[in-house]
Amino acid sequence: MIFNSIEFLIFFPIVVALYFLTPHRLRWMPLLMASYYFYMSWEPLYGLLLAGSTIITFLSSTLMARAKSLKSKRAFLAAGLILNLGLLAFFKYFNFFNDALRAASGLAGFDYKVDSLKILLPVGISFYIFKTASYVIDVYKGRMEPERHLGIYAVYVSFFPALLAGPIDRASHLIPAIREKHPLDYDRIMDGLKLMLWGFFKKLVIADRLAVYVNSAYNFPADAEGLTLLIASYFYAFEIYCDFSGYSDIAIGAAKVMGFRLTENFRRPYYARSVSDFWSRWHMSLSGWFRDYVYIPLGGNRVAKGRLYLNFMIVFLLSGLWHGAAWTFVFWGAIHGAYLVIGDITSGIRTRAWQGLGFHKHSGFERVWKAFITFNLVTFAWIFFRASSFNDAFAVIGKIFSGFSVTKKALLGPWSGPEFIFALCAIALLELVHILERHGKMGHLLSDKPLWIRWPLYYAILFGTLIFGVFGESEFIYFQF
Amino acid sequence: MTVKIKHRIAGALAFIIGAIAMHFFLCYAVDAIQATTLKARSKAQFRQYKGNIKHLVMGDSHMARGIDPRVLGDSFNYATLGEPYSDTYNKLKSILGSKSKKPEIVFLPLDLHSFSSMRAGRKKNKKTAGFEKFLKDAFPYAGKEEIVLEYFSGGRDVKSELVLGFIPGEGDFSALTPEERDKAAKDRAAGHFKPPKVPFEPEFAEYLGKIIELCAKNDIKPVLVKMPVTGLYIEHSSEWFSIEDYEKDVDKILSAHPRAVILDYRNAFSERYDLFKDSDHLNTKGAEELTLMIKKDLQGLN
Repeated sequence: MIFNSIEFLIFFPIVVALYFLTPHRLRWMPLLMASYYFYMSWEPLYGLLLAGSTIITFLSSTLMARAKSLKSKRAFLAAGLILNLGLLAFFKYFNFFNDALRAASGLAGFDYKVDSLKILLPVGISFYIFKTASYVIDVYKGRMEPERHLGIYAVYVSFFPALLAGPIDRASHLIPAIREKHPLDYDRIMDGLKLMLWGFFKKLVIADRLAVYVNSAYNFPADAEGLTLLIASYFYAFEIYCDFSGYSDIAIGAAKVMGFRLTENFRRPYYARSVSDFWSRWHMSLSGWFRDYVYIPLGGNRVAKGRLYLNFMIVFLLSGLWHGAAWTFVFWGAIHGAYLVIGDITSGIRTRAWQGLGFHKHSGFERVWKAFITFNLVTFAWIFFRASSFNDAFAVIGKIFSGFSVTKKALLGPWSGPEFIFALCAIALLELVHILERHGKMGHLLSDKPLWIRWPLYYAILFGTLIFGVFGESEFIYFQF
Repeated sequence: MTVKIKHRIAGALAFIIGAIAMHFFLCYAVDAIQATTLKARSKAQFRQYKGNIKHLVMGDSHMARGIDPRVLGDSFNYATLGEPYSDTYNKLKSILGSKSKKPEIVFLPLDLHSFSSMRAGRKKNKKTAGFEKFLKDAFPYAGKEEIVLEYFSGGRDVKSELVLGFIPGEGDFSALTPEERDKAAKDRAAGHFKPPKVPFEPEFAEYLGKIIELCAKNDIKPVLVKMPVTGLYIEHSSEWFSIEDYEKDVDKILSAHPRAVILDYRNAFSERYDLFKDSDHLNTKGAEELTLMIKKDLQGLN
């Protein structure tokens, strides 16, 4: 089941009604059943994987808590992580590493006989495996007591709004929320619905619209014009942001309706003033996961420079690999790691240069300039994320940087003039909302405005989504991860 | 029930009533905008036409701009821009089903791009296709942004004249420089045939067969017209596929339907750029000349 489906339009109100009608202590039951139904509507066998990950990590944490010696604790931790992450490794990376081994064996002159398997990648697996892994590690580190109620733990793992594409919430945050009593609160429910509506707008009106232009250029880059590819690259930056943040908004809004406060996942990432700032604003739940469970255990920034840079590269290579079992994703991750390394190395030089030019006195200009540079660096990296192969990625880059002619056809791509202008207006509206959100979330900013301002805006977003939404085109991009 | 709850309920009801009002307003507005589209206007003209329809012209823009019913006489041009054979079949079936107008001859296109997969439409995502259908049934204005944008930007649909369904084509391809003509033809051919498009989509061959059979069942003579295009367009199309192989495929389909008459004017005006508005569409002057040729050839057939 996906959010933009009739099934979800029927499913969600029923689940919300059941949730509030159920006595507080038993509310985990309808949530658990609904979450498994939500997931198994994709493929019933997926439920086994989800249950498997849940039981493995529940048992290993419970046994860890009861273990008397540190050696036993470590053994249960290792077992829990290996089995749990093993599921991810098998379903997502078996063929990737198998193909890599085959290629390497071929180069070395060995005959590699292991065939690739026809494995269906279960949707959302990367997200819930990371959730359960974080739980096991947190219990081991003593950051939280193991959950004793399997049902409540299972709800944490399978919580349907965030199951398919996050946010990756920590157990220490979500499990207490599952136990909390959430009263029926009109304002909270309305806020949740408004956030869902905004998420649908971003996905259907902006992301899916931009996808038409991006796909027309990126699917056959050798045939596309340089200007078209350049515009498509910038459009992709907005497409992936609106697609993923739109999903997150729907997930966070749906959870809010029921009284749950999920982790914020995006904070105006394209206003970041450096790549490290970008990663504190983009997919924050994932970057937080890598920070807490990979970067800090590796020593974080409390190590020598050489080791620090190695840590950056390890984290971002793993992040790239998490996003997809393909070398283009790994390379994308490596680019970001390289950005951080180069950024750190050149930090002093850049600051001195900036002061030497006198720009440090103009903080507004500095903010805009840094955001502009960061946005372009991130957009360049997205080329590898979006391209189907290295050949395609280099074809895109080659065409963009080897000079191109500015023609109407190249500018508009597959669109007419009005369609192109509309897309730009939609992006402008998005950025207007971002600028206004410097003063607080839109929901809160609007709540004290009079009715004649609020209601026309709500109607405009609702009916604007219906009229200008591109329906039937695509699922959410992050489902493939 | 407290006053606050009553206010909340009243507010929610007022919002819902407002939304329902907006819904009906938008249904009306989009209907009104859709009525200005060429397709809707053509349909309305056809319905209102009380004259005799001996010749019914159907198909796509080549037909809509290329055959003038005023010159042909006792005719109506019910072709619409971008119409694939699948839509033509359904349209003809509906006309014959209503029994109100039964032509003696139906003109259909048989052009280089008539079977191109560019007409196939986007492949529906199975998971969201149902949602899309539900939304478009419940909210007729859903996903109608193209029509709305076209309307407010004063696009082609709103401005084009329509005479007995015929769209007079303004423009003179000969007014362009040779380089401009060449580029225009190249872009046009690429738009029709550049991969991933394929020149021959089997689905359309099937529908052409169905149209011819439907004509046979209703005692209507199907006349397939290879519409005139410029030599430049043919030259640039051949860069994407073998026209010879394509013609062989078409002949194979038509060999099963010997009843169909073929009128070949493809190369009739290949260097007569003054008769075209672009590389593959006739202008009004070109339509008049072609229609006179068709009229003469029809007499020969009879």
